[in-house]
Amino acid sequence: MTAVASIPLAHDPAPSVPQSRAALLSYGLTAPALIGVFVLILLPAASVLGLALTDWQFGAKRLSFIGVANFRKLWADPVFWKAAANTALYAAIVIPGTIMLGLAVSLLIHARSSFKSVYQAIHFIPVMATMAAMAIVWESMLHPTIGLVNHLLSMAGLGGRNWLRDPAMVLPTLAVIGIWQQFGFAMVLFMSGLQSIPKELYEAARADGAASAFDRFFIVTLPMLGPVALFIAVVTAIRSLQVFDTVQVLTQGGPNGASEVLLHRLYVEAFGFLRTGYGAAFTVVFTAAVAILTVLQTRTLDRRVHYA
Amino acid sequence: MLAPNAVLLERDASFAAHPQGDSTADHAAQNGAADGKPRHTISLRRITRKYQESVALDGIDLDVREGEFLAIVGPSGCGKSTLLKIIAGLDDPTAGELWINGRPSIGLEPRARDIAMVFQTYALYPHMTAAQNIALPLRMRRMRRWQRLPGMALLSSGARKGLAEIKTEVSAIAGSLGIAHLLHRKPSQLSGGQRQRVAVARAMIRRPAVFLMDEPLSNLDAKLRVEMRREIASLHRRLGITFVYVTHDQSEAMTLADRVAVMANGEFLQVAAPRELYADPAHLEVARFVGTPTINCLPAEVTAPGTIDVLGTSVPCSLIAPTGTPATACIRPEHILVVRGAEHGVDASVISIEDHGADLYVRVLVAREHELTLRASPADLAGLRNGQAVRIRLTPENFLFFDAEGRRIRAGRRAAAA
Repeated sequence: MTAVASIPLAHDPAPSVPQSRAALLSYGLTAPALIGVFVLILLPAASVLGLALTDWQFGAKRLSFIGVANFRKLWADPVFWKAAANTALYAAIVIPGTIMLGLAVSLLIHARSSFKSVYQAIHFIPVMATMAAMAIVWESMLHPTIGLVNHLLSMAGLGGRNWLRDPAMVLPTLAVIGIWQQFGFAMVLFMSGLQSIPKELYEAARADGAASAFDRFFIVTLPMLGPVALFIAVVTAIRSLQVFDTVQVLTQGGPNGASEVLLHRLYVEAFGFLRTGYGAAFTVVFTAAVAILTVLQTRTLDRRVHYA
Repeated sequence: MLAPNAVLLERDASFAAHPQGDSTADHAAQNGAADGKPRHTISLRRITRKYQESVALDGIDLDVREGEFLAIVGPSGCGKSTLLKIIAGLDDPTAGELWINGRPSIGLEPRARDIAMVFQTYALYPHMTAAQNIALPLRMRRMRRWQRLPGMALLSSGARKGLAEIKTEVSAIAGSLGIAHLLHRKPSQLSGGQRQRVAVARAMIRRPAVFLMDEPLSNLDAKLRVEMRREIASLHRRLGITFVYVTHDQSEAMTLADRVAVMANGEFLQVAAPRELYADPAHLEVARFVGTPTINCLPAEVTAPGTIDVLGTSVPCSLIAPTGTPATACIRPEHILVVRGAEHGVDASVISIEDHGADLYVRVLVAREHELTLRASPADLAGLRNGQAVRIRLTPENFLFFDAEGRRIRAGRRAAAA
């Protein structure tokens, strides 16, 4: 390839298009993409950042620049901190739950010889379903008197609960729904990861004395799934920090803020109370936090799971 | 009773398709060193492996002597890797019996078989360093599961002591293979040859009774392959343990092994020393498989008792076969001579000349349809050109004859009725 490139070609005189025209042409060709990035990403982001420094309320005729007052207010707002703590707890349940359930299901399906894609498709349905609609189904299942969950529990001799109205239960319940929604995605990725593990590694492990499947799982499977698991962890983390639809449909952050999460609070401030400037500040902080967490997560785990 | 049986098996290993009687019952006795016979590290009897439709292995019998280097060679898909996996315990035969070190081993986990294996792809664990890869077989054997948990070295003195011992052994093995300076690297940071050495070290560290190698050199480039081949030979001399080596490369098998088993379609065609395979092949496929350049094969027919017709000329030979028996006459490239002057010979024209330095490989066309390759020294054929008409002589005593099924027709023996 290099040898070919270094041979001067016969029909290679001075470029037929002058330098300036070539430059113009390349700008012209990239312009649509550049305009798209500017209009759809940079401009809205800049305006959010700008609005965060004002006291604008949605529909108001005037706005004034108030510096970082919105951020100070946010810092002092106990509801913000409550929402942040709830979101962190939610993510702390959903991320490991999704990874473990996704891994377990993918291992079970992978071990089968037939109907793999059928099982895969079934477990993938929650990922494709509209969460707002599914939330209504969950609401009826979790209903304290007529819900399926409590019926099953009472048949098993266990007492039911008011899952969505009990301040101690509401967040874990939402987290379970979150896991239900996301594990299919993790499962599909783990499946592809499992398929790409060379068979020889399992044979080598057996020849090296790993007689039990349990040992081989820890010597081969788990480490080889590292890169996939990292990707799933990052995506699941971002999605669970952005939990909104289940909260909005099922609890509206209640009872008494027990299920208030960041994105729902943001929505209420910006679109419920129409405090757009405050909401914008909220958005800036939220986005920055998610970005920092993602980078940290990738940096720290990347070194441990990529072997190249 | 026992000794003759053992001798029979030994000799008849080359005709392995026909197992000799019920040799399994007295196998244990035969395997003992007491009778003065060489000890067999591995014995296979009628090993058969079937998949849903196809038969991968069809009644394989084999004895591998202690300390022997046995190569199993054959085209891809002939069942050689399946056979190795069955010996290793990574696959189970559909039927048949297997002894390793005198122990019936069917159904035993690889861990219990005293074997080690080197894989074609090396199968190193990519997340572990070279040192961790090499140490794994010892960790799996010497340390309990809880001791292998991360951080246990800090908590348990037993785990700490075990790890220290293992570390010493890993360093020693790595030193002997010249990879001591690479121990901290991950497999992705190693070259093909270095990975190969790590894989060999991982297999060696447990001092197994049998070393199984599945095409260990086929992922290396040509130069490195020759170099590693030499190292494997010296490794075998140094360790003195039994090697079973699977390859599709006949020259690897011929140069490394004490005995070579040539396999095709799930059966052994011949098991013999390299020289014997070359000079006295039992089957047409063996003759074709062994030797570079490939042996020349010509259609032939028995025209009268004691003569066989090749290329329109009658070759006298001591074969006893019915008149009209079709056969294949094969002759090695070095047994075809270019003759000068008025000497008797067959007319031919030169198609191509390959100069291999010490040898010339010359392809000639005979009787307008048969291409033959001959090998000669450049000095003998100085001035030979493409297209030139030459006269060649095929030395009759060097012909090998095979019947229509590819079985060897031997001199003085009645050929199978066609």
